[in-house]
Amino acid sequence: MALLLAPAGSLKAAQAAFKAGADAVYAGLAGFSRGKNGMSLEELKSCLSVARNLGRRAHVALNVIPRHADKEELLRAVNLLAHAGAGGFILNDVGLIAHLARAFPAIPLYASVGCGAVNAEDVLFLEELGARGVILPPGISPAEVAYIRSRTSVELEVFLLAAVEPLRPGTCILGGYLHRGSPALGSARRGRYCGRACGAPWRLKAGAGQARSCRLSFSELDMAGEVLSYLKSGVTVFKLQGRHLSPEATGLTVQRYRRVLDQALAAFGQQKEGEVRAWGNSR
Amino acid sequence: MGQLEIELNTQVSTLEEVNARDLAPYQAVYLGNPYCPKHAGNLLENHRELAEAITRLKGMGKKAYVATPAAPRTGELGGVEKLVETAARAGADAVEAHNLGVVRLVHRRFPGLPVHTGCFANVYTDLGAAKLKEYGVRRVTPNYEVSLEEIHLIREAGGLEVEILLHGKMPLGLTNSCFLLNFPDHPCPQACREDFWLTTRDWVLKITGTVVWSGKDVCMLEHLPYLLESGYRAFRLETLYEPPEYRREVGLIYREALEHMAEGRELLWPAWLEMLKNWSRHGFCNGYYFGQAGRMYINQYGEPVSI
Repeated sequence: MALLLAPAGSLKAAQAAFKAGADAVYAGLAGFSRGKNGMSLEELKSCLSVARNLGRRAHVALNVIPRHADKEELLRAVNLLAHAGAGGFILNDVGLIAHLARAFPAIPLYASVGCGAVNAEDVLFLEELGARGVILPPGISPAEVAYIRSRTSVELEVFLLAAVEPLRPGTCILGGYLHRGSPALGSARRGRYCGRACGAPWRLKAGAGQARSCRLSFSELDMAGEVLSYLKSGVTVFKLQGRHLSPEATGLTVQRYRRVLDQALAAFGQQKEGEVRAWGNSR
Repeated sequence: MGQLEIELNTQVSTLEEVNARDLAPYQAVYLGNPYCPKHAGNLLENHRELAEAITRLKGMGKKAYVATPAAPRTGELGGVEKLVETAARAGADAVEAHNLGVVRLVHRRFPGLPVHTGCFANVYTDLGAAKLKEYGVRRVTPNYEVSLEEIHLIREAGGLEVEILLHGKMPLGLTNSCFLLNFPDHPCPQACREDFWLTTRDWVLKITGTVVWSGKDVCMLEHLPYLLESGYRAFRLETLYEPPEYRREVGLIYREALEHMAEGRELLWPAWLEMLKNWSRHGFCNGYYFGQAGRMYINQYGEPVSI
């Protein structure tokens, strides 16, 4: 069964996502979640409650890597949220994944795209650590997914909609290099806002040559056209980025991809049925 | 201090760079460029030359570590396995992996071959380091945005050797595709022989095809006594994409500083820093070691200064 996983930057966005047909949402806990769209503990608990009442899932993004001093606070939050019905935790640190897999064996753990899994061995490594699912890099081809699927039984999650930044997920520490002065700016993986320094109007100078304007490339990834291929390759979760979206925009986005996924699921079902009939006829 | 086994190491991309004169200050060398298979002469793409490079280093009495591609896709893993097989057969002392899948692959296929993890393996916590130890990892380079305070904890709790970037440009991220391919007037692979700088406001970055680097050189010379007292023994001088003279001269300055410390001789900070400055176009920083913005420089007295 494939799930549509929608972003929830607020409780209202979560409600809008569910209304528009999301099977699950992911929301962050402020202070332990990348970006500026984390919820307070109380709001997050309400979000989990909404999901539970609808019979759907809510994952909690704890994709900031805690400093040593913050680790105990994070573990307390995990304990609390696990009891409040979190459908899973999205994590960015392999040590934390292994630790929580032992401490909370019943709670599904998902390796964030920031874990940098790009190949089948990465996914197997994360599976051995105890990850229930692995988020694959934006734009991964269905053929690569199919190969990974043949080697592992974890949930494989791909992006249908994502902002592709110039630096690969899991490698960028630019924000913390450039910014100083504001405690809110810095490394995204350490819980600060990176300020998207990569998007600045840069000038490129080659050796002693003239400088010229240049931009590091950003693009919006829309993989709607690949949904059927992804289904065939064994994708189990289709993720939409966009925790910054308003509730209205979240609803509209989910509606669009719900339609796309439902059409693909219907086509996939018919094809599977056709395959079964063909197999039956050949006997 | 003279009796301590201190390793200064560096990295070279090609066989041509494996020569006794430029590598004289170093006890160990990482071979190959993990960031770009198209880098001209990349040892990771020519296994015969890689084996020869390992033999040469051994002949010089140095340790030979072999890099592996930083972010190989599934289709490239077969090539990585052959690369590691070549390294193991030729007597490499360890392989370096930035990719956790490669760590797993080496552990399964070449048990007993030591693994060092590079900065992009994203070791941030003692929990992560301890887990990697179970996969045959002997040495970790924590992610460069981890502070020394946290690195101490990683070393103590993780039970692994830790490598510290002592000098040179710090990789800040890997691009999704080669950035320089956007500029046809700088064709591949010659473009990587030129220096490319990105500037805006008072920010400067260096960019090679697939890596964004700090514009400033990390310089921990003044903090070397503290690092030694803290128990670190493996130090990297990052010289990828630098000319051979940089590798030799910067290495010699650090070697001299280490000798002065070992023999209790006068520490010539101003002179050494002046000499190092000759090799730095945009000044020095300390990276993230002291918990500050990575492009700042803190001197041995704990004062932020511009240098």
